[in-house]
Amino acid sequence: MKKVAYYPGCTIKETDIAVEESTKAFLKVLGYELEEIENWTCCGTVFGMTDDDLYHQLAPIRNLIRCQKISNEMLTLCDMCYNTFRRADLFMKDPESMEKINLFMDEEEDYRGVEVYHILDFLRDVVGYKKIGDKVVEKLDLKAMPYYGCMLLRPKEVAIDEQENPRVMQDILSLLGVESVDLGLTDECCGSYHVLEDPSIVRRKSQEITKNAKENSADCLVLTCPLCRYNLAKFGDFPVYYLEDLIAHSFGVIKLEMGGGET
Amino acid sequence: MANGDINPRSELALKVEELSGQNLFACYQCGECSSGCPMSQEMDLLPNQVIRYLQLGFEEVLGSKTPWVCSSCLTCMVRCPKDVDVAKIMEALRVIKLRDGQNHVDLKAIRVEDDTPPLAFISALRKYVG
Amino acid sequence: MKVGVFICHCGKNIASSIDIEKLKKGISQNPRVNYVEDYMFLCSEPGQDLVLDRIKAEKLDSVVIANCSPTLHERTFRDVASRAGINPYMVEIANIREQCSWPHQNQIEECTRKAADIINYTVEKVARDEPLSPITTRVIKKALVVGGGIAGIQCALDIADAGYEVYLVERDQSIGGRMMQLSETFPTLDCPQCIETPKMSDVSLHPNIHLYNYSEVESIDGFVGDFKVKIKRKAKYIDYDKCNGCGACEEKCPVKVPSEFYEGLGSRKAVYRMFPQAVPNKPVIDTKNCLYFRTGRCKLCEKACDLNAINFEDEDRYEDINVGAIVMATGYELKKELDELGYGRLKDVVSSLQFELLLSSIGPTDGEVKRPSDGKIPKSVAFIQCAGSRDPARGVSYCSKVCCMYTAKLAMLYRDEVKDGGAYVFYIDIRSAGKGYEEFVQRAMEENEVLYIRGKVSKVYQEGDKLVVMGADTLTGKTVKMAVDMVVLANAIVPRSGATDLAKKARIQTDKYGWFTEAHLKLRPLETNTKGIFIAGMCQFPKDITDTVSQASGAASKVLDIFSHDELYQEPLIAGVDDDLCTGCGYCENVCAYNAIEIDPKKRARVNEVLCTGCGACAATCPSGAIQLRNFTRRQMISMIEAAEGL
Repeated sequence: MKKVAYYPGCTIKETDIAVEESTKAFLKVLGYELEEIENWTCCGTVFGMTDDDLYHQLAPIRNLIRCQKISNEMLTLCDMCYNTFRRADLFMKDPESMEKINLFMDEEEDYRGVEVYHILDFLRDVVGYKKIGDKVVEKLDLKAMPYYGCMLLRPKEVAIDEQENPRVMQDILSLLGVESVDLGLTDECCGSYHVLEDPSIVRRKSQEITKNAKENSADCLVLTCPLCRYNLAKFGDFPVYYLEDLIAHSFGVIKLEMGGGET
Repeated sequence: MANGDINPRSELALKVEELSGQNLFACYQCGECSSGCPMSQEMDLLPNQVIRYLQLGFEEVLGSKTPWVCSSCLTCMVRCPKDVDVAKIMEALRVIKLRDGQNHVDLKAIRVEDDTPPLAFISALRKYVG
Repeated sequence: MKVGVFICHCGKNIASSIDIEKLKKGISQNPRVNYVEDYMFLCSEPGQDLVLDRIKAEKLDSVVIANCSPTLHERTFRDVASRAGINPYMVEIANIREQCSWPHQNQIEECTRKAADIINYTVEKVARDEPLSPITTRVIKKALVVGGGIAGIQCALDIADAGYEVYLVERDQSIGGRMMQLSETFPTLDCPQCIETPKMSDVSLHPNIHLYNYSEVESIDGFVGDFKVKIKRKAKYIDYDKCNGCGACEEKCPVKVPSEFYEGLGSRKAVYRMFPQAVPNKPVIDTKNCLYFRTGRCKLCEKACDLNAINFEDEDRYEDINVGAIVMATGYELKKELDELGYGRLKDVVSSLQFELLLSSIGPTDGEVKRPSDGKIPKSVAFIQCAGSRDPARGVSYCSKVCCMYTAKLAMLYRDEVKDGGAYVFYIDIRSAGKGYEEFVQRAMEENEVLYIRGKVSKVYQEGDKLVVMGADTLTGKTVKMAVDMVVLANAIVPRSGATDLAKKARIQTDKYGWFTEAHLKLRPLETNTKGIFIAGMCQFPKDITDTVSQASGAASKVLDIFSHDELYQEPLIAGVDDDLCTGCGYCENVCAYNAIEIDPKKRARVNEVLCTGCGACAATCPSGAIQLRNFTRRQMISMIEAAEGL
């Protein structure tokens, strides 16, 4: 069993623990075991974008340093955590920033660099499509719109695939027998955190995205981001599945109830 | 404020350029950012207009809804043909107000549902509270 | 040696930073200098007359002109020297403007001293100059034109009409190029096939034009007046002496592949002519797709041919030609990577050339605009300008120049054909600078009801059987999201694939995009930095047909200029070998970028005087000093340095 340092993030642990279970289950089939990082804290999303803001970087860097203790590779399931960690890691490539932050967080060891994986590029680059295909026992007869959202593809420096023409989700879905419907709004923002103070925004965007999926003859949306899942499932009136759940189901290690809204 | 009091070197514009590291005059007002912005329907000024206000020094842009409606999806900056990071400019405008002590939400007034994902709570607070 | 020094004021350019009187006094004290004079503008006619006069009067045999950069007036004053009866290579320029007065303004004392140094060391140089004679080369009065589009065709016709032989080499089966793919030309709405086919016909009938279709340039050696070019005559598998263009083979061929001429919207056979009016009107066989070449079976074309013109045993042939001048006219392509606009993934998002073909009477749909996806007539079409152009973020910073005009045209033609159809143009700016151009665009807006929306489109996506365009109107400040039946892109115009390879073969420069570089953008736009090789048409940069044809004729006139001489003169400021010192080590041969040096069997370096450009790499490399540049020897350089150091 190969061990993989794992960062769960707040939402997976709080409201979406099921997807962590599915992931653990199918990764076990593929020969990987998740090793949760000790003392992890909030990843610090959303990434702070002003040039002078070092404070905002402390949260993600702290977690990356904690990961360093057990591995120089880290896996996360949440799109927003992935995005924040990758950008924080890039931010630290500037020697001046690296020095300032290391000095400031003197109670932690120095940050050296961690390779951050999202479950999607982990499956593509570390596990490999062939291994995944080999473990499929039940092919799913579905037409799905792979929904990438914002955080996996933007900015270009952290994108897990070609920005305007990503294929990783479609490739994995095809291993599961799922036909992808991907010529529509696959990377349109769902409204994100506006659900907190103005859910009508999220309602409008979710309806727009799911309408597009329906018009393009998709049966459902497939995604990996917990915030998008919440928004689209609650306000979109359309089946939404975690990709991890579909993989686990097609490996035969969980039983998904398809046809509903939330999983 | 009279129409046409143009000031391309306004204090606000210089501050925004400093915080965002962007050259406001690299923007040639093509509108691609506005075309692709998923939150544009909710905005009073389109993203390209926000930049135009800054280029011409109309400081009332600070009172616009637009930077707060922005969801940091980064579609604008990945599409901009002049490589202007519009998202950073929006962030600069937000940060100018936040650092001035003007929170965008009243913490006490936020309602959290049972099923609200912590993600929403955390990211919103990071954006709206100084 | 009698050296004269002439100092130019250049108005205020030199005189404001240099104390001319003091300078003159200083120079007069140089024992090598026989005569010093200053003048306001030496390059003017009276200035030149003054120099000529003094050369004669003072019996000077060498001259130093202290003025601006030699790139400007070295030739002028060499010419003056010739007219005064002395050897023109006994003239040296001391640049006291760009290299002295201009960079050191407000430092008069130091500046004057520096000017004196510059002049003094130049005097040392000229004192050791040798009189030289220009090198002459022969002129072969035949031309090569690469590319059979309208530029190549026009150029070839102009040269041929003047009485000289032209080889017109075209990579594809037929000449005609992009113009044959267009529906109508702006702003006159001419039928491009109707105006171009007569010229194509002229080319094929012209006794002076050798039309080499389905051929490519393999290598180019030699120099202006005497180029040796190897042409690859690709195997056609059709005997053109027997074939009469009846088309029976094409009809019987069972293989259908996407047609390049139709930009993928229609098909052709494996044995094919590009379009019905092809010149030559004889097909070629595409061996990649031909059943016989792939599987050994079929040969239906051979059976169908009454004249026995199919020859499966044909082979590529190489032909060497000798020409005096070459014109590159290789044209353009459209940028294909436009993923956010759905190009290549969404069937009903088409390029401008594809839409031209849909409207064209010789196109794949006989001129009926139909959606590639389902063949239905689109009732709403969005035209997206600047699709890839003006986009430094994605590697194409420039404006493609013709798209505003052709978009207006395509929208007008669409509206003409689909009377209840809606045409919407998304633009950033409108560039319509040409005769009748602005009026044409206004006509589209005023009379043809084409709606112009000012905002660059961010994305096009699919929803059901419609395409959704995400745009904006920056003038009203509103986003515009429009569901349409079809989208036409004004793709960025980029150089033809293979252009940079061809440039390397010809040793001409390309810019960072691959456009062929002109010798001077303003004053020598048709010449390249390689003498005798010219450029015309889109291969230099996007332009419309008017400018293309103008450039083609202009390039032809440059060629005819060369052909009007029986001999060409080369500057003699090149490398020369001292046989006594040369050991034949070969270092110089290795380092020469122009293949101008050979070590002969006697182990002595031999310089090809016509290929040598006088770059000096060999002179710098030679360990024994055997090979040196004429009139820029080591001895001269050392004396110049010593003079500058005041030794």
